[in-house]
Amino acid sequence: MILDTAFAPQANLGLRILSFFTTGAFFVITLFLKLCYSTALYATLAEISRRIALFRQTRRPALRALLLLPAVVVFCTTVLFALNLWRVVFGSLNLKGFTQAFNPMDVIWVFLRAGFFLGAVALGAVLGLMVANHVTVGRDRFGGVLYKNRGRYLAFWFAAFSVCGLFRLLPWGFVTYWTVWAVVLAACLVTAAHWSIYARVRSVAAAPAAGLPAGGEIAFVLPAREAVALSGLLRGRGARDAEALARSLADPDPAWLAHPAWTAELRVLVQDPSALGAALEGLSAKGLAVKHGTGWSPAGHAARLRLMGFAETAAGLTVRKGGAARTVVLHRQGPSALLLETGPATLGVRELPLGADAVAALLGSVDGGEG
Amino acid sequence: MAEFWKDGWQEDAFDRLRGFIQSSPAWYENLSPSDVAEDAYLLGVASTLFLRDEDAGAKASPAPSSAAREAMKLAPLGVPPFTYERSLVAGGDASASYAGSAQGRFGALHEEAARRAGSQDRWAAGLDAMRRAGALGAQWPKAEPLHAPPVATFGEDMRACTRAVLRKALHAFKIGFGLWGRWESP
Amino acid sequence: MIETRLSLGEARYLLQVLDLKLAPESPLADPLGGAAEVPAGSTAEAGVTKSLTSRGLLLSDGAPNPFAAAAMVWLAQPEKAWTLSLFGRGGAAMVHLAFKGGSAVECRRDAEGFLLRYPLPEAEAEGWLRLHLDGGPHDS
Repeated sequence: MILDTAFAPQANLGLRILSFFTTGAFFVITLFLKLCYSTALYATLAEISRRIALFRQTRRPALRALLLLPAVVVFCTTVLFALNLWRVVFGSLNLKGFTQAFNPMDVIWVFLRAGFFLGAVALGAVLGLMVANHVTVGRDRFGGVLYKNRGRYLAFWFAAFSVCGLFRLLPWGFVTYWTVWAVVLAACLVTAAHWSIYARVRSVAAAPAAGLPAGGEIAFVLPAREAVALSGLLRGRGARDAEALARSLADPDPAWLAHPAWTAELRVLVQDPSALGAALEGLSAKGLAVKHGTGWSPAGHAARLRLMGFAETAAGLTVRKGGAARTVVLHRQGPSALLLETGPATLGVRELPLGADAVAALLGSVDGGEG
Repeated sequence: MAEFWKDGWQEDAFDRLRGFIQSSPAWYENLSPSDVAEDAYLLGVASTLFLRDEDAGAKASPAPSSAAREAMKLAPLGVPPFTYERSLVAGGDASASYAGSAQGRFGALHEEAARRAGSQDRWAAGLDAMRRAGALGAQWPKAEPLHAPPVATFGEDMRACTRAVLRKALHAFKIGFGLWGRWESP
Repeated sequence: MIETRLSLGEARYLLQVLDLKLAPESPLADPLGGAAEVPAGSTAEAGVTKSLTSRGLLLSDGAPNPFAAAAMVWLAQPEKAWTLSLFGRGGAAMVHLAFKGGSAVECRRDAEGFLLRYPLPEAEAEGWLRLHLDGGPHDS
């Protein structure tokens, strides 16, 4: 008994030292893992915000960016899911529960919990396809592919991710399951939606453009004022009256204001209805516009010009020599090519015959004016 | 005496270790103020990632796409090659190319360069400096058109995305290791 | 073919060392026309000369490389200049070609400054245009 009491504190001290070092080692290891995981999460979130900023700036995302977003989302979700895996699959079960009396109901619960996650995956994929179906994919003026998208599904994922991350830090185990479930759903939604949009954008980008149908080749020269009026006519669908045209010109299409001097013409057309009427009559006399009742719509060569819609590539060649400059722009779509020459006073548009050498025509057109 | 100590130590230690391991999954349920402080610190450090350029530490530029690589094989322009390397070796060829340039036989730009060099030595020194800087090329290079790049394949896109995400994660792990900036030369 | 990269500051410094005035046709006139000179003896000048020397554009005695000097003459005072602006799926790009006496210098503007390639015979200018518009020589 004497020995017992005499050596007991010493035994406790050894135990305490061992316990201290084991606890310390485990603490350092988990601290390191937590640091790495959390930093990786913040880093990927930073990447997402950077990509979203790029999307907003250019509105012309590279095809690859459409895949990068779901890749980042899936990575972040996987890390968060792994951090919560034990809690969401095994719930309040711990290793002690496995070593002790075995409750068959617990096993059923584990399967139910895991199975419910498959439901989130399937539902997310279906919702993603439905969301992507409502996203418009189209081409812009210079052959870029656009998709207009408010990105609400990204906000949904981000909110689910934040809530889930919050509840991972808080000690309320019962909310973890459903927040992780929502994150998995949101991640599958984003992935399915973006893969579907990627496939559609890709098919548009890779498809060769058909070009203009055979017909009378476009060739006209217009004074600047009539060219600006024509730009308003070409923007709309169907016949539009002079007031609607003036309203449309008040918010002009910058691609048509090719020459600085044209801005003044635009102002005159917006402010003076008689000037707009005269310009439309001038277009009508050249066979480029036609009047239906009170409305005007493009006709002849102008109607054919609107058929073209977009250019796959546009190349502007400016030649400067002896203080003078001359610019000719070549628009190409498939086999069709248009040459546009914009001056301070006139706009010339000429369609090249099918199979013509567009580069030689561009050079000839620039040099013709030069010589 | 020693045996008593040893037995007691073993029994107690295994018991404590087992308890420690078994209770570990529930650690997160006992968050202390120090855990919160740690997360706040992380948020502060990691949020500086928002200000960093992800490509600043990239080792190599991305490989050109398959279509671009095919196109690079063609000789794009019929510019007659001017054999700069030949002019570097002192002797007949170098004298001939300098004299030819000075007389305008290799174009106006070479004529101007020869006039500005003034002597064959300076002409050769200029060419040698260009050669050492890697500026001399045998033929006109064909650059990938930036305005109409070839459409990359799905596999190329997927690999590039995975690589970008993993590189960012590695970046974060480097910070976790505390080796930021010293990874290359520890 | 010589291919050289120049930053805006380096181009400005070469112009001032060579005492070249920018003609209205010059492709450099837009970015460099209003740029302030690099002050002599400043740390900015030391940095510019160091990077120019490391890339072979200044010789060891500090004088400009005659080839770089000739290219700067072409860019600053061309007889004729082409500006090719390209738009497409990937965005926009702009390349200049400065002609003088039957030779030309290509100048591409990018975020870091200029990328110069020279000399291009004037007879090859059409081939150069095809290279940018069609991606290669015309087959037919």
